[in-house]
Amino acid sequence: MAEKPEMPETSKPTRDRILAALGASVEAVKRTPLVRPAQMPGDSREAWEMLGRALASLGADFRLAGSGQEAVGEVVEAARLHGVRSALLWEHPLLERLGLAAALAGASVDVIPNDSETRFCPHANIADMGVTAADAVFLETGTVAVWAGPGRERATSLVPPLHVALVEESVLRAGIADLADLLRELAASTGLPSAVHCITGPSTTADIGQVLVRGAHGPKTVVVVGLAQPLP
Amino acid sequence: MHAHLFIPCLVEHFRPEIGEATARVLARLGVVPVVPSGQTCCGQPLYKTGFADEVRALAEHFLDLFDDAEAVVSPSGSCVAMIRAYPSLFEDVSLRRRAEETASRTFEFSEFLVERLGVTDAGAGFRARAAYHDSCQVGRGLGVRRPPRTLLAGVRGLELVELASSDDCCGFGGAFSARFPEISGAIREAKVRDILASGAEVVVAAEVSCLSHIARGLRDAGADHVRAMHVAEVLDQGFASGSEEAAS
Amino acid sequence: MKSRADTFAALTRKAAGNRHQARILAGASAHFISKRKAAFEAVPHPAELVRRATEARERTLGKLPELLLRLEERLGDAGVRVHWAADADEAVAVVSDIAREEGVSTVVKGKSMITEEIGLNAALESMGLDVLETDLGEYIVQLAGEGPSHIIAPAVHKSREEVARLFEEKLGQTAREAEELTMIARRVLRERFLTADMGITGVNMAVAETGTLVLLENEGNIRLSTTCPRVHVAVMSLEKVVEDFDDVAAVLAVLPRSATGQKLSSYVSFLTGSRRGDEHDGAEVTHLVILDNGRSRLHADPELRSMLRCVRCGACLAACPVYRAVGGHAYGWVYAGPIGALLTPGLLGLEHAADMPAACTTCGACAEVCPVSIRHHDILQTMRIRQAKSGQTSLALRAGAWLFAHLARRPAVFGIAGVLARLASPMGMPRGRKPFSRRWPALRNRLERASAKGHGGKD
Repeated sequence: MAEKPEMPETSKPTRDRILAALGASVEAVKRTPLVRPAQMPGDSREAWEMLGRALASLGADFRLAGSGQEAVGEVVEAARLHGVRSALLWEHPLLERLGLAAALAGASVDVIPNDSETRFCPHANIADMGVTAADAVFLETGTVAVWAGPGRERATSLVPPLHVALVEESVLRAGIADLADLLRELAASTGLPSAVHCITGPSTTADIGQVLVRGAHGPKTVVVVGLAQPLP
Repeated sequence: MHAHLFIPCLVEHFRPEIGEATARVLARLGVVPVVPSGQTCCGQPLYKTGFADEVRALAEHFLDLFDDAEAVVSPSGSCVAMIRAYPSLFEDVSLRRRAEETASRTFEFSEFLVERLGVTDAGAGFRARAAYHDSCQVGRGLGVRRPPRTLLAGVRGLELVELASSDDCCGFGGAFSARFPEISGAIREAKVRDILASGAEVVVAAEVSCLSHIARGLRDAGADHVRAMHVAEVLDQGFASGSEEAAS
Repeated sequence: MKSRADTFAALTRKAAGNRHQARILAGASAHFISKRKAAFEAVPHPAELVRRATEARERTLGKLPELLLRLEERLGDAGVRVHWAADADEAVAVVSDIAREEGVSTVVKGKSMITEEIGLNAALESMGLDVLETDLGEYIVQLAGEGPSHIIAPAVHKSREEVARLFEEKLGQTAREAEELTMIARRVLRERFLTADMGITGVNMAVAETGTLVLLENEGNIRLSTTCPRVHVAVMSLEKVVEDFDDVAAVLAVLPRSATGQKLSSYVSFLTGSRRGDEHDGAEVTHLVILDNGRSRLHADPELRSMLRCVRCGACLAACPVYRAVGGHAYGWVYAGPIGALLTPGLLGLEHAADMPAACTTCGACAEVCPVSIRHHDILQTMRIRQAKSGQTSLALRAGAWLFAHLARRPAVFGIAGVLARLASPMGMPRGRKPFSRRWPALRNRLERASAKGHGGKD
């Protein structure tokens, strides 16, 4: 828990004046449940298919791997396809169990260390590819959610032009209503991470003539690799 | 059945033939039209410019003329919308109730035909390609979108085409057109372009002010050949019984 | 930002003649409208989503003081420094002080209408800070020395060719296609993200239950602004607080769909405090400025309060025939379209935007698309009534209204006035020159005779 900062003395009277000027509270608006249009599909195959469709509509790539080895192969292939020479990886149990760093090194991809004497963003800017796990995936929208933490840099899924996310079946959820549940559970249990980023496809803009362009600031390409089988 | 006609001031002074068509079509459908004398205005020019209190006297005048009517029918959706707002003008409970009751028996013309009389074919015939403009006060204001289309679909020989954006505002907006003529004209230009692009020879609407405004826009665009007609005028065409000549 | 809304009538007159802009806006609006429509048609119960989002925002407004206090406490628990600012000057002073204390010299900014409202960029620049807008549309208008013309598409008024010329002039490099132009901006801006000291953003929602800031975007510039620089300053207008994550989800279900037709924005970030001790990126210190600037007064006004539900989707702009005809700059201040016509007089006072309430055809297209059920045209009508009651209308209008009201109560006199109006009118004289009431007796007789003969339908 961060140290609670002192509020500047000048701010308190301002706050109190503002709060006093607000209108009186009205009778509480009745709370109704969230609308839940998205349901979890009956079986895994359907779930992965739903994810694949959602990602395709976003212009993101989806690969379903039948094993850990296949998953590693997909990541190496994505690196090859996009001319990746250096990569930034999360320090994450899933990536470690897959032996991803070694596999990439074997494919002549320079794996940049996560420690940096200088600021991390310029460091991350060297990488052509960032690889993360996914802390949650929402099928309705094709959203990959990542939490920040030690070894789980924000920049990894943001700064390099290619983001690869490894998704275990256990993190699949139906839709955004489930995100609310998830965040609430996190807050009540281990506490919310300093950042949760919900990533829905590549970076986009249509600010020039309403023409859709990918890779405005964030990654131009997003590759999601699903692990159809849990790792042994 | 009798229907009391509320004749909008635009019809009274500028498009009386719309009032005549309304009366004839109702008569043909077995409804006896009654036109109380002493009508003036529903008051929306006052209301829309913020002079809501001043409308109260007009609302009382309306109730005096119409509150014993079986039904009140008007060829103007905006007038009907104004009349439906009359109850909110009265603090006096009995006046408010009178206003609510009369308003509940007040209908826009096409709404009355389709939803109260159950008419879909009014017996009209009119060979033309026509596009329907969803007036804001009728479509959004009263929720009346299907009835005019239903009635037009029942007109023999009429080819209905949909505008690309039939419910885009024509730009009249009452006092708006006088106060912001450049904006009003620019909005109208977009509507006229839409009408011309549809290939329609006739643009039909259920709101008189839209028709007059659009007609001016068509003239400005050099497209005088496109007529702007009220739903009632279209339904007044080509009636087969021959007892009452249709207006040309 | 200084308001020119008192010259709104003149600005719109000029803007309405700009056919080039009108064509661009017509195209852009049609694009946004069709995307929005498709997105809502694709969900099973669109009205339910709108209802639940409206509830979330209404609940906020109903408990605003309580939620703001809870938010402040949770933010504190998360280590965020909270500042309150009564008006634009105070907010600017707060941010300037932060910049000074933190030794900031370069700033990267995410798109934020609230920072436009308070004129933050100009103030920081006058302190000698280098302030760079990073949202592509904002970057473009910043290069052009203009303000944004639209809530979600700041450079919507500029064609691709205009942007290409702008880049050539200001950056010394250009391209033909939107993609290549975007890549030029990406390269230029990337360098700045990596070296900036401070990132300034707005806030889409602030969650009272946890002190979490919620930020939506498609480009990634907001994530970069809150990941790379050492300091994050978030500026928030006080109505942006929501109670909990369910309410966040309710708004997320309608906001991107209403804005661009997306199911969800490319990035939705939930920031709870600064980077933790063992993390390598994210801001080291986070400040939140909670701004009033006229909102408390609006909140206390029951007839106007509902405009504070706004989630800044921009759908009302795309739907509004007036906005499409005149564009965003004509509104003279920060907010354009129907919500601009409400917020400008709402926040600045009716007397500073006196023409805005009348500049509405009351078509209601705005209310039809609003995901939080604001009835813009009804509120504008309320403002008109207030103006008339307080004598804020012109003498000519008041005199005209008095005259009209008197005539309309006297049928005979009204009839004469009608004749005069017909003579004077540009609509021209109707055929036969007789008003309807003079034609009616003859028509009635004809109809009665026809009915008696058994023609003309049922009894």
